[in-house]
Amino acid sequence: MTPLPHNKSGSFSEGLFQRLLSIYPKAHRDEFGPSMNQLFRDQCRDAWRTDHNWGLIKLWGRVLPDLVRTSMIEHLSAFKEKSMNERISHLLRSSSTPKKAFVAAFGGIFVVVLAASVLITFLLPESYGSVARIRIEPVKGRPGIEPEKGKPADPYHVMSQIELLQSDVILGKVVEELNLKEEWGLKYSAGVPLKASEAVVMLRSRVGFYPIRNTQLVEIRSFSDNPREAARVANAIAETYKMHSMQFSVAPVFKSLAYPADIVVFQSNQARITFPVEIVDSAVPTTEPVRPRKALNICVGAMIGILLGLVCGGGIGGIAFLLGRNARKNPA
Amino acid sequence: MAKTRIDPEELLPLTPAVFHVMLALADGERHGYAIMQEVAEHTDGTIKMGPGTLYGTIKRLLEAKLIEESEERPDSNLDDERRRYYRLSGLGERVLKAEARRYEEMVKLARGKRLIGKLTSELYPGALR
Repeated sequence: MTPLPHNKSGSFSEGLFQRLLSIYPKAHRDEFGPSMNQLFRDQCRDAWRTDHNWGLIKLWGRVLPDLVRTSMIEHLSAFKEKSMNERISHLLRSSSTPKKAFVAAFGGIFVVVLAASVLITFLLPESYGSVARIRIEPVKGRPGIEPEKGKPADPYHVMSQIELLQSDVILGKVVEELNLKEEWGLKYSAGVPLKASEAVVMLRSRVGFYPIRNTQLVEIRSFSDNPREAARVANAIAETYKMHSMQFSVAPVFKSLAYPADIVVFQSNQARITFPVEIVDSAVPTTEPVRPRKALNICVGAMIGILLGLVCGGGIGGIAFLLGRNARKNPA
Repeated sequence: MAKTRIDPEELLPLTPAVFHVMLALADGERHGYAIMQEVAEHTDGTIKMGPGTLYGTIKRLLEAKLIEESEERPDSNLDDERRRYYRLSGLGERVLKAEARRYEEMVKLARGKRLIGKLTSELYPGALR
Protein backbone atom coordinates (compact mmCIF):
# COMPACT_ATOMS: atom_id res chain seq x y z
CA MET A 1 0.00 0.00 0.00
CA THR A 2 1.37 3.39 -0.95
CA PRO A 3 1.22 5.73 2.02
CA LEU A 4 -0.43 9.08 1.64
CA PRO A 5 2.23 11.59 0.63
CA HIS A 6 3.10 13.66 3.64
CA ASN A 7 1.25 16.91 3.16
CA LYS A 8 -0.70 19.29 5.34
CA SER A 9 -4.00 18.89 3.48
CA GLY A 10 -3.89 15.11 3.76
CA SER A 11 -3.02 15.13 7.47
CA PHE A 12 -5.66 17.77 8.15
CA SER A 13 -8.30 15.76 6.25
CA GLU A 14 -7.45 12.58 8.14
CA GLY A 15 -7.52 14.35 11.49
CA LEU A 16 -10.80 16.05 10.70
CA PHE A 17 -12.40 12.81 9.54
CA GLN A 18 -11.26 11.07 12.72
CA ARG A 19 -12.89 13.80 14.81
CA LEU A 20 -16.06 13.73 12.72
CA LEU A 21 -16.49 10.04 13.43
CA SER A 22 -17.63 11.08 16.91
CA ILE A 23 -21.05 11.92 15.43
CA TYR A 24 -21.71 8.16 15.08
CA PRO A 25 -23.12 6.11 17.96
CA LYS A 26 -20.36 4.76 20.21
CA ALA A 27 -21.06 1.11 19.39
CA HIS A 28 -20.80 1.75 15.64
CA ARG A 29 -17.66 3.83 16.15
CA ASP A 30 -16.01 1.13 18.23
CA GLU A 31 -16.86 -1.56 15.69
CA PHE A 32 -16.15 0.22 12.40
CA GLY A 33 -14.32 3.45 13.31
CA PRO A 34 -10.78 2.15 12.58
CA SER A 35 -11.90 0.57 9.28
CA MET A 36 -13.67 3.77 8.24
CA ASN A 37 -10.54 5.75 9.08
CA GLN A 38 -8.44 3.42 7.01
CA LEU A 39 -10.84 3.56 4.07
CA PHE A 40 -10.85 7.35 4.20
CA ARG A 41 -7.05 7.36 4.28
CA ASP A 42 -7.05 5.22 1.14
CA GLN A 43 -9.55 7.53 -0.51
CA CYS A 44 -7.43 10.56 0.42
CA ARG A 45 -4.40 8.90 -1.14
CA ASP A 46 -6.30 8.26 -4.40
CA ALA A 47 -7.75 11.77 -4.44
CA TRP A 48 -4.31 13.31 -3.86
CA ARG A 49 -2.80 11.23 -6.63
CA THR A 50 -5.47 12.34 -9.09
CA ASP A 51 -5.98 16.02 -8.38
CA HIS A 52 -3.97 17.01 -5.28
CA ASN A 53 -5.86 19.57 -3.19
CA TRP A 54 -8.75 19.78 -5.64
CA GLY A 55 -9.10 16.01 -5.41
CA LEU A 56 -9.32 16.25 -1.62
CA ILE A 57 -11.96 18.98 -1.86
CA LYS A 58 -14.02 16.81 -4.22
CA LEU A 59 -13.64 13.87 -1.84
CA TRP A 60 -14.91 15.95 1.08
CA GLY A 61 -17.82 17.06 -1.07
CA ARG A 62 -18.85 13.39 -1.30
CA VAL A 63 -17.83 12.23 2.17
CA LEU A 64 -19.37 14.99 4.29
CA PRO A 65 -23.03 14.49 3.22
CA ASP A 66 -22.44 10.74 3.46
CA LEU A 67 -21.22 11.10 7.06
CA VAL A 68 -24.17 13.25 8.11
CA ARG A 69 -26.75 10.99 6.46
CA THR A 70 -25.34 7.68 7.63
CA SER A 71 -24.70 8.92 11.19
CA MET A 72 -28.39 9.80 11.44
CA ILE A 73 -29.32 6.35 10.12
CA GLU A 74 -27.04 4.69 12.68
CA HIS A 75 -28.43 6.76 15.54
CA LEU A 76 -31.97 5.85 14.48
CA SER A 77 -31.01 2.22 14.20
CA ALA A 78 -29.33 2.26 17.65
CA PHE A 79 -32.42 3.94 19.09
CA LYS A 80 -34.71 1.26 17.63
CA GLU A 81 -32.54 -1.55 18.97
CA LYS A 82 -33.04 -0.62 22.63
CA SER A 83 -36.38 -1.31 24.29
CA MET A 84 -38.27 1.65 25.68
CA ASN A 85 -37.71 0.50 29.26
CA GLU A 86 -33.98 0.16 28.71
CA ARG A 87 -33.81 3.63 27.25
CA ILE A 88 -35.77 5.22 30.10
CA SER A 89 -33.82 3.43 32.80
CA HIS A 90 -30.49 4.32 31.17
CA LEU A 91 -31.54 7.93 30.85
CA LEU A 92 -32.71 8.18 34.44
CA ARG A 93 -29.60 6.67 35.94
CA SER A 94 -27.32 9.14 34.22
CA SER A 95 -26.40 12.02 36.54
CA SER A 96 -26.27 14.46 33.63
CA THR A 97 -29.87 13.76 32.58
CA PRO A 98 -31.54 16.57 34.66
CA LYS A 99 -29.14 19.13 33.21
CA LYS A 100 -29.62 17.77 29.69
CA ALA A 101 -33.40 17.70 30.18
CA PHE A 102 -33.35 21.32 31.35
CA VAL A 103 -31.18 22.45 28.43
CA ALA A 104 -33.25 20.49 25.89
CA ALA A 105 -36.60 21.73 27.25
CA PHE A 106 -35.40 25.30 27.65
CA GLY A 107 -33.77 25.37 24.22
CA GLY A 108 -36.69 23.66 22.51
CA ILE A 109 -39.33 25.91 24.02
CA PHE A 110 -37.30 29.06 23.48
CA VAL A 111 -36.68 28.22 19.82
CA VAL A 112 -40.33 27.24 19.19
CA VAL A 113 -41.74 30.39 20.83
CA LEU A 114 -39.22 32.65 19.13
CA ALA A 115 -39.84 31.00 15.75
CA ALA A 116 -43.60 31.34 16.24
CA SER A 117 -43.28 35.04 17.10
CA VAL A 118 -41.06 35.67 14.07
CA LEU A 119 -43.47 33.75 11.83
CA ILE A 120 -46.54 35.53 13.16
CA THR A 121 -44.82 38.92 12.91
CA PHE A 122 -43.95 38.40 9.28
CA LEU A 123 -47.32 36.84 8.38
CA LEU A 124 -49.40 39.61 9.95
CA PRO A 125 -50.69 42.11 7.38
CA GLU A 126 -48.97 45.46 7.57
CA SER A 127 -51.00 48.41 8.75
CA TYR A 128 -50.19 52.06 8.07
CA GLY A 129 -51.26 54.88 10.33
CA SER A 130 -51.95 58.53 9.56
CA VAL A 131 -52.66 61.38 11.93
CA ALA A 132 -54.58 64.62 11.42
CA ARG A 133 -54.77 67.21 14.21
CA ILE A 134 -57.63 69.57 14.84
CA ARG A 135 -58.12 72.35 17.33
CA ILE A 136 -61.49 72.64 18.98
CA GLU A 137 -62.36 76.08 20.41
CA PRO A 138 -63.76 76.01 23.90
CA VAL A 139 -67.38 77.17 23.89
CA LYS A 140 -68.46 80.07 26.04
CA GLY A 141 -71.99 81.35 25.73
CA ARG A 142 -73.61 81.28 22.28
CA PRO A 143 -71.97 78.84 19.86
CA GLY A 144 -70.27 80.43 16.87
CA ILE A 145 -70.15 83.86 18.31
CA GLU A 146 -67.07 85.23 19.93
CA PRO A 147 -66.92 83.90 23.50
CA GLU A 148 -68.44 86.22 25.97
CA LYS A 149 -66.01 87.51 28.47
CA GLY A 150 -66.43 86.33 32.02
CA LYS A 151 -68.32 83.11 31.14
CA PRO A 152 -66.43 79.89 31.98
CA ALA A 153 -65.58 77.39 29.22
CA ASP A 154 -67.46 74.08 29.08
CA PRO A 155 -64.98 71.59 30.65
CA TYR A 156 -66.58 68.61 28.86
CA HIS A 157 -66.68 70.28 25.46
CA VAL A 158 -63.71 68.39 23.96
CA MET A 159 -64.98 65.03 25.20
CA SER A 160 -68.42 65.78 23.80
CA GLN A 161 -66.87 66.70 20.46
CA ILE A 162 -64.88 63.42 20.40
CA GLU A 163 -68.12 61.51 20.90
CA LEU A 164 -69.58 63.53 18.03
CA LEU A 165 -66.53 62.73 15.91
CA GLN A 166 -67.12 58.98 16.20
CA SER A 167 -70.86 59.23 15.81
CA ASP A 168 -72.79 58.06 12.76
CA VAL A 169 -73.38 61.72 11.88
CA ILE A 170 -69.73 62.35 11.06
CA LEU A 171 -68.56 58.85 10.10
CA GLY A 172 -71.68 58.26 7.97
CA LYS A 173 -70.87 61.38 5.96
CA VAL A 174 -67.24 60.26 5.58
CA VAL A 175 -68.40 56.85 4.30
CA GLU A 176 -70.60 58.57 1.71
CA GLU A 177 -68.00 61.12 0.74
CA LEU A 178 -65.19 58.59 0.22
CA ASN A 179 -67.52 56.00 -1.32
CA LEU A 180 -66.29 53.47 1.23
CA LYS A 181 -69.34 51.19 0.84
CA GLU A 182 -68.30 50.26 -2.70
CA GLU A 183 -64.56 50.52 -2.11
CA TRP A 184 -64.53 48.25 0.94
CA GLY A 185 -67.18 46.01 -0.60
CA LEU A 186 -64.80 45.34 -3.47
CA LYS A 187 -61.92 44.78 -1.09
CA TYR A 188 -63.47 42.81 1.74
CA SER A 189 -66.85 41.51 0.63
CA ALA A 190 -66.15 39.86 -2.72
CA GLY A 191 -67.37 42.87 -4.66
CA VAL A 192 -70.72 43.18 -2.89
CA PRO A 193 -71.15 46.77 -1.64
CA LEU A 194 -71.38 47.09 2.13
CA LYS A 195 -74.38 48.54 3.89
CA ALA A 196 -73.87 52.06 5.21
CA SER A 197 -74.08 50.82 8.80
CA GLU A 198 -71.49 48.08 8.11
CA ALA A 199 -69.13 50.56 6.50
CA VAL A 200 -69.52 52.92 9.47
CA VAL A 201 -68.77 50.11 11.95
CA MET A 202 -65.71 49.13 9.93
CA LEU A 203 -64.56 52.74 9.73
CA ARG A 204 -65.06 53.21 13.47
CA SER A 205 -62.83 50.20 14.17
CA ARG A 206 -60.07 51.76 12.07
CA VAL A 207 -59.97 55.22 13.60
CA GLY A 208 -59.16 56.65 17.02
CA PHE A 209 -59.58 60.10 18.56
CA TYR A 210 -57.16 61.22 21.22
CA PRO A 211 -57.21 64.60 23.02
CA ILE A 212 -53.74 66.01 23.68
CA ARG A 213 -53.52 66.93 27.34
CA ASN A 214 -53.58 70.59 28.37
CA THR A 215 -54.33 71.73 24.82
CA GLN A 216 -57.40 72.14 22.65
CA LEU A 217 -55.95 69.72 20.13
CA VAL A 218 -57.39 66.35 19.17
CA GLU A 219 -55.56 63.72 17.12
CA ILE A 220 -57.52 61.79 14.53
CA ARG A 221 -55.65 58.55 13.88
CA SER A 222 -56.60 56.33 11.00
CA PHE A 223 -55.24 52.85 10.17
CA SER A 224 -55.34 50.95 6.90
CA ASP A 225 -53.35 48.45 4.87
CA ASN A 226 -52.96 51.27 2.36
CA PRO A 227 -51.06 54.37 3.55
CA ARG A 228 -52.93 56.66 1.14
CA GLU A 229 -56.28 55.40 2.33
CA ALA A 230 -55.28 55.94 5.96
CA ALA A 231 -54.36 59.59 5.25
CA ARG A 232 -57.48 60.13 3.10
CA VAL A 233 -59.79 58.86 5.84
CA ALA A 234 -58.15 60.95 8.59
CA ASN A 235 -58.34 64.10 6.46
CA ALA A 236 -61.94 63.37 5.44
CA ILE A 237 -63.00 63.03 9.08
CA ALA A 238 -61.28 66.30 9.98
CA GLU A 239 -62.89 68.13 7.03
CA THR A 240 -66.34 66.66 7.61
CA TYR A 241 -66.25 67.53 11.29
CA LYS A 242 -65.06 71.06 10.52
CA MET A 243 -67.89 71.58 7.98
CA HIS A 244 -70.41 70.13 10.40
CA SER A 245 -69.24 72.45 13.20
CA MET A 246 -69.29 75.48 10.90
CA GLN A 247 -72.79 74.66 9.76
CA PHE A 248 -74.04 74.51 13.33
CA SER A 249 -72.12 77.61 14.38
CA VAL A 250 -73.00 79.93 11.52
CA ALA A 251 -76.57 78.77 10.84
CA PRO A 252 -78.06 80.41 13.98
CA VAL A 253 -76.42 83.69 13.02
CA PHE A 254 -77.97 83.62 9.56
CA LYS A 255 -81.34 82.63 10.96
CA SER A 256 -81.32 85.69 13.18
CA LEU A 257 -80.74 88.01 10.20
CA ALA A 258 -83.67 89.69 8.51
CA TYR A 259 -83.04 90.51 4.84
CA PRO A 260 -81.84 93.07 3.75
CA ALA A 261 -81.36 95.57 6.51
CA ASP A 262 -79.71 93.16 8.92
CA ILE A 263 -77.08 92.18 6.33
CA VAL A 264 -75.31 95.41 6.97
CA VAL A 265 -75.33 94.62 10.68
CA PHE A 266 -74.08 91.05 9.98
CA GLN A 267 -71.25 92.33 7.82
CA SER A 268 -70.17 94.63 10.56
CA ASN A 269 -70.33 91.70 13.01
CA GLN A 270 -68.36 89.28 10.75
CA ALA A 271 -65.18 89.94 12.60
CA ARG A 272 -66.81 88.63 15.75
CA ILE A 273 -67.83 85.23 14.26
CA THR A 274 -65.35 82.51 15.26
CA PHE A 275 -65.05 79.10 13.60
CA PRO A 276 -64.98 76.50 16.38
CA VAL A 277 -62.78 73.92 14.55
CA GLU A 278 -59.46 74.42 12.86
CA ILE A 279 -57.41 71.74 11.06
CA VAL A 280 -53.93 72.17 12.48
CA ASP A 281 -52.17 69.30 10.67
CA SER A 282 -53.41 67.36 7.67
CA ALA A 283 -52.66 63.64 7.52
CA VAL A 284 -50.02 62.52 5.04
CA PRO A 285 -49.35 58.95 3.84
CA THR A 286 -46.50 57.29 5.71
CA THR A 287 -43.98 54.89 4.27
CA GLU A 288 -43.34 52.84 7.42
CA PRO A 289 -46.09 50.56 8.71
CA VAL A 290 -47.13 51.10 12.32
CA ARG A 291 -48.18 47.48 12.78
CA PRO A 292 -46.84 44.88 13.24
CA ARG A 293 -44.00 46.28 15.32
CA LYS A 294 -41.47 43.73 14.18
CA ALA A 295 -38.60 44.37 16.61
CA LEU A 296 -40.97 44.69 19.56
CA ASN A 297 -42.90 41.52 18.67
CA ILE A 298 -39.70 39.49 18.27
CA CYS A 299 -38.27 40.85 21.55
CA VAL A 300 -41.52 40.02 23.35
CA GLY A 301 -41.46 36.54 21.74
CA ALA A 302 -37.88 36.03 22.94
CA MET A 303 -38.76 37.16 26.48
CA ILE A 304 -41.79 34.86 26.61
CA GLY A 305 -39.64 32.03 25.21
CA ILE A 306 -37.03 32.57 27.94
CA LEU A 307 -39.66 32.69 30.69
CA LEU A 308 -41.57 29.65 29.43
CA GLY A 309 -38.30 27.81 28.79
CA LEU A 310 -37.10 28.50 32.34
CA VAL A 311 -40.39 27.39 33.87
CA CYS A 312 -40.85 24.25 31.75
CA GLY A 313 -37.12 23.40 31.65
CA GLY A 314 -36.91 23.81 35.43
CA GLY A 315 -39.96 21.61 35.89
CA ILE A 316 -38.75 18.88 33.55
CA GLY A 317 -35.20 19.01 34.92
CA GLY A 318 -36.57 18.78 38.48
CA ILE A 319 -38.75 15.79 37.64
CA ALA A 320 -35.80 14.08 35.91
CA PHE A 321 -33.64 14.74 38.99
CA LEU A 322 -36.22 13.23 41.38
CA LEU A 323 -36.85 10.20 39.16
CA GLY A 324 -33.11 9.68 38.69
CA ARG A 325 -32.51 9.80 42.45
CA ASN A 326 -35.19 7.15 42.98
CA ALA A 327 -33.82 5.00 40.15
CA ARG A 328 -30.30 5.13 41.59
CA LYS A 329 -31.60 4.26 45.07
CA ASN A 330 -33.60 1.28 43.72
CA PRO A 331 -31.59 -0.10 40.80
CA ALA A 332 -34.01 -3.04 40.40
CA MET B 1 -32.51 -27.64 17.79
CA ALA B 2 -33.22 -27.64 14.08
CA LYS B 3 -32.13 -24.50 12.23
CA THR B 4 -34.91 -22.72 10.37
CA ARG B 5 -33.86 -22.22 6.78
CA ILE B 6 -34.47 -18.65 5.60
CA ASP B 7 -36.07 -18.29 2.20
CA PRO B 8 -33.83 -15.89 0.19
CA GLU B 9 -36.92 -14.49 -1.54
CA GLU B 10 -38.02 -13.03 1.79
CA LEU B 11 -35.01 -10.74 1.85
CA LEU B 12 -35.65 -9.32 -1.61
CA PRO B 13 -35.48 -6.78 -3.10
CA LEU B 14 -32.04 -5.64 -2.00
CA THR B 15 -31.15 -1.98 -1.94
CA PRO B 16 -28.68 -0.91 -4.65
CA ALA B 17 -25.89 -0.40 -2.08
CA VAL B 18 -26.40 -3.87 -0.60
CA PHE B 19 -26.58 -5.49 -4.02
CA HIS B 20 -23.38 -3.83 -5.21
CA VAL B 21 -21.46 -4.76 -2.04
CA MET B 22 -22.63 -8.38 -2.28
CA LEU B 23 -21.81 -8.45 -5.98
CA ALA B 24 -18.30 -7.21 -5.18
CA LEU B 25 -17.90 -10.11 -2.74
CA ALA B 26 -19.18 -12.68 -5.25
CA ASP B 27 -15.63 -13.30 -6.53
CA GLY B 28 -14.14 -13.85 -3.11
CA GLU B 29 -13.29 -12.11 0.10
CA ARG B 30 -12.35 -8.45 0.08
CA HIS B 31 -11.66 -5.62 2.48
CA GLY B 32 -13.64 -2.37 2.59
CA TYR B 33 -11.42 -0.39 0.23
CA ALA B 34 -11.37 -3.21 -2.33
CA ILE B 35 -15.17 -3.46 -2.17
CA MET B 36 -15.46 0.28 -2.75
CA GLN B 37 -13.09 0.10 -5.74
CA GLU B 38 -14.93 -2.89 -7.19
CA VAL B 39 -18.28 -1.10 -6.92
CA ALA B 40 -16.86 2.02 -8.57
CA GLU B 41 -15.40 -0.14 -11.35
CA HIS B 42 -18.67 -2.10 -11.91
CA THR B 43 -20.66 1.09 -12.19
CA ASP B 44 -18.13 3.06 -14.27
CA GLY B 45 -17.59 5.39 -11.34
CA THR B 46 -21.22 6.41 -11.04
CA ILE B 47 -21.48 4.89 -7.56
CA LYS B 48 -18.69 6.02 -5.26
CA MET B 49 -19.45 4.78 -1.79
CA GLY B 50 -18.37 6.86 1.16
CA PRO B 51 -17.02 5.24 4.34
CA GLY B 52 -20.35 5.82 6.12
CA THR B 53 -22.47 4.12 3.46
CA LEU B 54 -20.04 1.26 2.96
CA TYR B 55 -19.62 0.34 6.62
CA GLY B 56 -23.31 0.96 7.35
CA THR B 57 -24.14 -1.53 4.60
CA ILE B 58 -21.52 -3.99 5.85
CA LYS B 59 -22.95 -3.72 9.37
CA ARG B 60 -26.45 -4.54 8.16
CA LEU B 61 -25.20 -7.41 5.99
CA LEU B 62 -23.32 -8.86 8.97
CA GLU B 63 -26.41 -8.54 11.16
CA ALA B 64 -28.53 -10.27 8.51
CA LYS B 65 -25.80 -12.95 8.21
CA LEU B 66 -25.53 -12.37 4.47
CA ILE B 67 -21.79 -11.80 4.78
CA GLU B 68 -19.25 -12.84 7.38
CA GLU B 69 -15.90 -11.60 8.46
CA SER B 70 -13.02 -13.72 7.35
CA GLU B 71 -10.81 -15.02 10.14
CA GLU B 72 -7.80 -15.35 7.87
CA ARG B 73 -5.50 -12.40 7.61
CA PRO B 74 -3.26 -11.84 4.60
CA ASP B 75 0.48 -11.86 4.80
CA SER B 76 1.49 -8.57 6.43
CA ASN B 77 4.08 -8.07 3.65
CA LEU B 78 1.33 -8.05 1.06
CA ASP B 79 -1.29 -6.02 2.83
CA ASP B 80 -2.07 -4.12 6.01
CA GLU B 81 -2.92 -6.80 8.55
CA ARG B 82 -5.33 -4.44 10.33
CA ARG B 83 -7.67 -4.62 7.38
CA ARG B 84 -10.83 -6.62 7.90
CA TYR B 85 -11.89 -8.97 5.13
CA TYR B 86 -15.46 -9.95 4.37
CA ARG B 87 -16.96 -12.77 2.30
CA LEU B 88 -20.43 -13.92 1.30
CA SER B 89 -22.09 -16.44 3.61
CA GLY B 90 -24.07 -19.40 2.26
CA LEU B 91 -27.29 -17.46 2.79
CA GLY B 92 -25.70 -14.41 1.18
CA GLU B 93 -24.87 -16.40 -1.95
CA ARG B 94 -28.41 -17.69 -2.24
CA VAL B 95 -29.88 -14.23 -1.73
CA LEU B 96 -27.51 -12.72 -4.29
CA LYS B 97 -28.45 -15.39 -6.85
CA ALA B 98 -32.15 -14.84 -6.16
CA GLU B 99 -31.73 -11.10 -6.62
CA ALA B 100 -29.75 -11.62 -9.84
CA ARG B 101 -32.56 -13.87 -11.16
CA ARG B 102 -35.09 -11.21 -10.22
CA TYR B 103 -33.10 -8.64 -12.21
CA GLU B 104 -32.89 -11.11 -15.11
CA GLU B 105 -36.67 -11.45 -15.13
CA MET B 106 -37.05 -7.72 -15.10
CA VAL B 107 -34.61 -7.31 -17.97
CA LYS B 108 -36.54 -9.95 -19.97
CA LEU B 109 -39.72 -8.07 -19.29
CA ALA B 110 -38.17 -4.79 -20.39
CA ARG B 111 -36.90 -6.47 -23.61
CA GLY B 112 -40.34 -7.90 -24.28
CA LYS B 113 -41.71 -4.41 -24.09
CA ARG B 114 -38.90 -3.19 -26.39
CA LEU B 115 -37.58 -0.82 -23.74
CA ILE B 116 -34.05 -2.19 -24.27
CA GLY B 117 -32.42 -4.04 -27.18
CA LYS B 118 -32.10 -7.83 -27.51
CA LEU B 119 -28.86 -9.67 -26.80
CA THR B 120 -26.82 -10.88 -29.77
CA SER B 121 -27.27 -14.47 -28.57
CA GLU B 122 -31.03 -14.02 -28.65
CA LEU B 123 -30.98 -12.51 -32.13
CA TYR B 124 -28.59 -15.17 -33.53
CA PRO B 125 -28.92 -18.30 -31.34
CA GLY B 126 -26.09 -20.18 -33.09
CA ALA B 127 -23.64 -17.32 -33.26
CA LEU B 128 -21.87 -17.95 -29.94
CA ARG B 129 -21.68 -21.76 -30.15
